[in-house]
Amino acid sequence: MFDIGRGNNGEIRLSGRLDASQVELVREQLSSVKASCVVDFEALDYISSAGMGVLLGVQKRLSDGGHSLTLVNLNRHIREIFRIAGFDNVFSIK
Amino acid sequence: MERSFPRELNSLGPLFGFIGDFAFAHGLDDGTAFTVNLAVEEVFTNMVKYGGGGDEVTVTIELHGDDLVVELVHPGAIPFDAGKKGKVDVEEALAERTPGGLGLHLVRNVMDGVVYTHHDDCARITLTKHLGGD
Repeated sequence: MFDIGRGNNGEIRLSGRLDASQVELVREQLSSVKASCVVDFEALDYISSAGMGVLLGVQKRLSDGGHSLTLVNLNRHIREIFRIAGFDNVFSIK
Repeated sequence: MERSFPRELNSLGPLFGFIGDFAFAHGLDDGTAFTVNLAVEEVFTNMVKYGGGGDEVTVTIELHGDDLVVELVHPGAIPFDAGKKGKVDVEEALAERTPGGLGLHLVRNVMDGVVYTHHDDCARITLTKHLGGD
């Protein structure tokens, strides 16, 4: 089960499992992001390249206006695949 | 364990359940389960999106000594040159990055073996993960 919502401080909160069958939901939700934003991964258990591709697309779109996503609280497995994908070079990951 | 899944993205939930059952039965750690889920999803999703051919994919998962071996078989699949896919420059600047090829790049990096064959109109991808200490 995957879910996406907003936290008390305006951060985007992802939870559950973000696989290729859920990617249109996250794409639609993130299309409304127009400025720099924190994405909280604390409750996200799993992500694959489909979801990573959406995040990459949002980051590219935001960068055109001088904005960016900051990714926080990634579990160690997600952190490792983001490293393998070279996302350290294109995202601020905390 | 072997099971066939309809070749559609809605099969991912049951497919993860199938892998989870195997992981539980064999005491696989969280990291191994995560990487096997990831690799199988990436391959299966490619078969759904680009494979053409038959309506089902058969997945087999077994332990061969210290090796976890997962095989995905897709009858009627369109052949592709696996060697030309998944070449990703992870040092590339944001403006140059595209999501294309990222899935196979991850598969090649989280698994110890990835073998693609296409014989008799049937695509077969074998993924191996070494579970030993080294």
